[in-house]
Amino acid sequence: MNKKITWTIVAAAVIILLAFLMTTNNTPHRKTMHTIGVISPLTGWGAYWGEGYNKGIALAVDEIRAKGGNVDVVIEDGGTDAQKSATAAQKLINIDKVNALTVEFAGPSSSVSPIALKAGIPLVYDAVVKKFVNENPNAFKFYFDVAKQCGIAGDYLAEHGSKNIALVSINLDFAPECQTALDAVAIRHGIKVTPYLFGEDMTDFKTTISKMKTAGVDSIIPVFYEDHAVSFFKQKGDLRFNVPVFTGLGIPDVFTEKVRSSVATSSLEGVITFDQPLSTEFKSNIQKKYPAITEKDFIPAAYGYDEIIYLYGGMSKCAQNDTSCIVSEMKKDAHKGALQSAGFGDDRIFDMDPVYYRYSGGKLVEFPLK
Amino acid sequence: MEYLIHIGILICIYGILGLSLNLIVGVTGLLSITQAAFYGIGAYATAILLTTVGMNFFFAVLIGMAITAVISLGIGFVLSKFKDDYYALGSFGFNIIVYSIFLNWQSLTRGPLGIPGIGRPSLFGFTFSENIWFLVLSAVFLVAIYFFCEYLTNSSFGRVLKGIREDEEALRVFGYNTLFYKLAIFVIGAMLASVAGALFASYITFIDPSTFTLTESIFLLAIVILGGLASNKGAVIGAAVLILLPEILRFVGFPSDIAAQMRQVTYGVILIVLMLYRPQGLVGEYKL
Amino acid sequence: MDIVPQLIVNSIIAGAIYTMVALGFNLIYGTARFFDLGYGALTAVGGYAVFYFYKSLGLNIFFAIVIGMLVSGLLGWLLYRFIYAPLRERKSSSMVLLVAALGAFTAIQAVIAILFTSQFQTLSTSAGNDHVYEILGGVITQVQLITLIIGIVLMLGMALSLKYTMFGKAVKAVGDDEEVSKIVGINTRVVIGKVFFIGSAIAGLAGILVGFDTGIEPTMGLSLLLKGVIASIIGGIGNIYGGVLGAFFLGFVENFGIWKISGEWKDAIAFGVLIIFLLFRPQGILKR
Repeated sequence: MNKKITWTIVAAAVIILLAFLMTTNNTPHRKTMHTIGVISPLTGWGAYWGEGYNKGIALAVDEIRAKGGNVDVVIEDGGTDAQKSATAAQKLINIDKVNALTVEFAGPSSSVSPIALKAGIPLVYDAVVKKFVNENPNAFKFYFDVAKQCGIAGDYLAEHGSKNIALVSINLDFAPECQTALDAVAIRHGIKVTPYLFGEDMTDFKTTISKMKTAGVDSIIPVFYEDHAVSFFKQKGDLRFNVPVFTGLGIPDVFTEKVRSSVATSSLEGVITFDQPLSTEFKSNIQKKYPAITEKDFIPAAYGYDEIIYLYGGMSKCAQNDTSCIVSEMKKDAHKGALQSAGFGDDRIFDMDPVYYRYSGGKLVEFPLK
Repeated sequence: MEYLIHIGILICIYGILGLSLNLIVGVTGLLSITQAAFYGIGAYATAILLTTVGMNFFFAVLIGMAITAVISLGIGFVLSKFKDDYYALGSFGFNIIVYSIFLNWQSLTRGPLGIPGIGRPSLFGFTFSENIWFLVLSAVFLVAIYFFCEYLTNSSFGRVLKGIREDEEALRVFGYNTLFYKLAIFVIGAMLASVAGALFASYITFIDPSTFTLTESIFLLAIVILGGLASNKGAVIGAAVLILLPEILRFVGFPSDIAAQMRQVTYGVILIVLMLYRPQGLVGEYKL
Repeated sequence: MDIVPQLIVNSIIAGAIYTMVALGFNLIYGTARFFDLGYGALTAVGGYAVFYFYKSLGLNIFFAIVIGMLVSGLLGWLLYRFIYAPLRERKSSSMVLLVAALGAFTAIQAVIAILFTSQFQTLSTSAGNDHVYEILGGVITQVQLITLIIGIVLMLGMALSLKYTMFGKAVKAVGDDEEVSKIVGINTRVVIGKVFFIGSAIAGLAGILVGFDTGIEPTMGLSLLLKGVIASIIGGIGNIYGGVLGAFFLGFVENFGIWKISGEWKDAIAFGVLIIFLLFRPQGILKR
């Protein structure tokens, strides 16, 4: 009986503590600040993005406050998991009473977008799929569009003589989008496009490469991340499969500095990829704040930075929680931030015209496509 | 408030999952680590039926249960040929195979795109779109399933199951067809898990394969063990603790860039400590 | 069909890595008789130790590898000494050990992520200027060849020492029947502790070699572990040669599966093979 009583007391204490923690408002100025909730990928395979992303956010907050602005950011981990992100969103909206949300990756965006819509707050999401701007009138999309980029890559390769394109992709939700775009390319040019899909933890592409060789593949569009890229390009070189490569995701995801320094230059010769060039001012500022920052963090930091600046830009011009005002202000905002974009425009999609690069002689050289 | 309601719904869903797995692992002693597969089949069945033919949620739940019953019968039958550790391994295998099907059979499940836009349940014209009503619905399901499990474990059927856990050979000597009992409880547990899946799909309104992995099955096992094997109350309490724990840890002041990982460390350490100092779980009926 | 020689070489290379994992796992399972999930995290520990000592501190590569193996071996031993041994002495069931191992796995993985970030890292410094050899019409790199050779050397070394050294015989005795070995006077705790150390050191080495061939990340352990487990079971659990045989068999099945079916189904194929073996030949290809 004694043990039962002890456990009941412990349980009751925990519940009381929990209720106390969750209902007290910890920051007295919260009501007068603009609060942005950030659902950042801090665990799981997407964590490579979250670490840099958080740095850019911190820099943005510093700059806003230095100019006398009134902003607060609460960061919660959403992993790359739809449920975890949904729980994070609920906590941010109901406990921290955030006035806007940001979320990364398509899975989390899928579960968070309806929640943000219901709460009536603006949402900025960072994913390669477009659909949430169509479903959620308060949603703004950052990042490239994989369908568009795959189409451009496919058209380029076809126009330069390829007859048998291979799409080598992780089986995540951007693969079907890329595939659809490439099916259209295949019809347009009368060529063959074959998908080669694999699971997220794949490190051994050798047999897939051998398969492609036998099938007469003459160009490749890879849609995967840096860890796959290291293995893939290494093995492609080892197996002497020297066909042109045009990446479907950009430098921050697939053709990172780590890939370029870990794989022999000869195996990477001729790879065409793209990126959004960053403003030099942003780069120097983020390096001042984080002297140990490495190149891989620049891009996610730039996204974090711009997302906060654009959101705050809209929020500061409006009354707190006037979402339609915030949305229309954000549409109008055309300032060039870290990513040097011209802003959202009416379709609420961040205007990004990527710059294409060709990797030649160990260096990334700008490469106009036409 | 909405956040607590959200957590409450998750506790109900995981409580049902805990109860379902407890019947198999705790009461009958079958070390099954594939419950997430049945959770997923229920979720996908509901998702597909609601989005393609607009079926009523409650019918979809029943159909989901039927589909799960058939599939689990097959899996359970194959697994019944194994013992102990091999049973666990074989179940791992089935989880991974079912997950691969969710991910790669794209014409059925839309693969990694997942299925968005799943509607909330509606009954006689009333739709459970407010979360508070969904919480009520989930709680009703939880309570009903809890009483069902209590009834089952305290019945003579339940006594046979516990006998199988303690000494299967002896029961067979007495003439009991233990294979029938093991299959029956496996299928029942699977069907209950599919109900949880249906609720999950309708609540989040979006599902994708990433929820139904081996890691999730291991998490469900942890819930059952934590709560205490063979205790239905324990399964629900275990679910509550493991859902609340990461949420409570949010408010402990870890520096934000390592907060998420620190929570994982804490979770792992708590599992170890519990196994060392209280292996019968929180309200366990019998000590391992 | 000139793809076949390369396929064979690919299969052998894959088998070499699985061999390393299976050797250590088989040793531990054969002696202590439980599925040590924590073992998976030790591959990452070895890899990251070398990353720290070799790449960050710039130590000599062989030195760093030895230290890496010592670190993972030591950590494996500590897990045994403070978690598994106490649990086993209390006659805890395999479920409790499994959950404790799961806790260890989760915690270790998260600590690595805190210390080294979740970024993918490579161990080799030579920017892929690996020597490449042509064997049997297929291409193999220097690191892969070294892995293969080490795997075979280790296998022989282990088999011989188990047969001919006093320690090896003690290990076999404990594996055969722990109770009897205690009666005969073998200090089973010490023997098993040493087994954990050696097995975990081998796991660390496997992680290190993978790091040189492709790279490391905190989450690399689970997938490697599962493959090692499959290899051990297919080949014959508890049998050193069996684990190696199973590893190469698994490598072949996976690669031919990718060739004939496609890459997405790789894991499902591997586990499908496991289940088939469990059904028709659970003792594996080679007997104990």
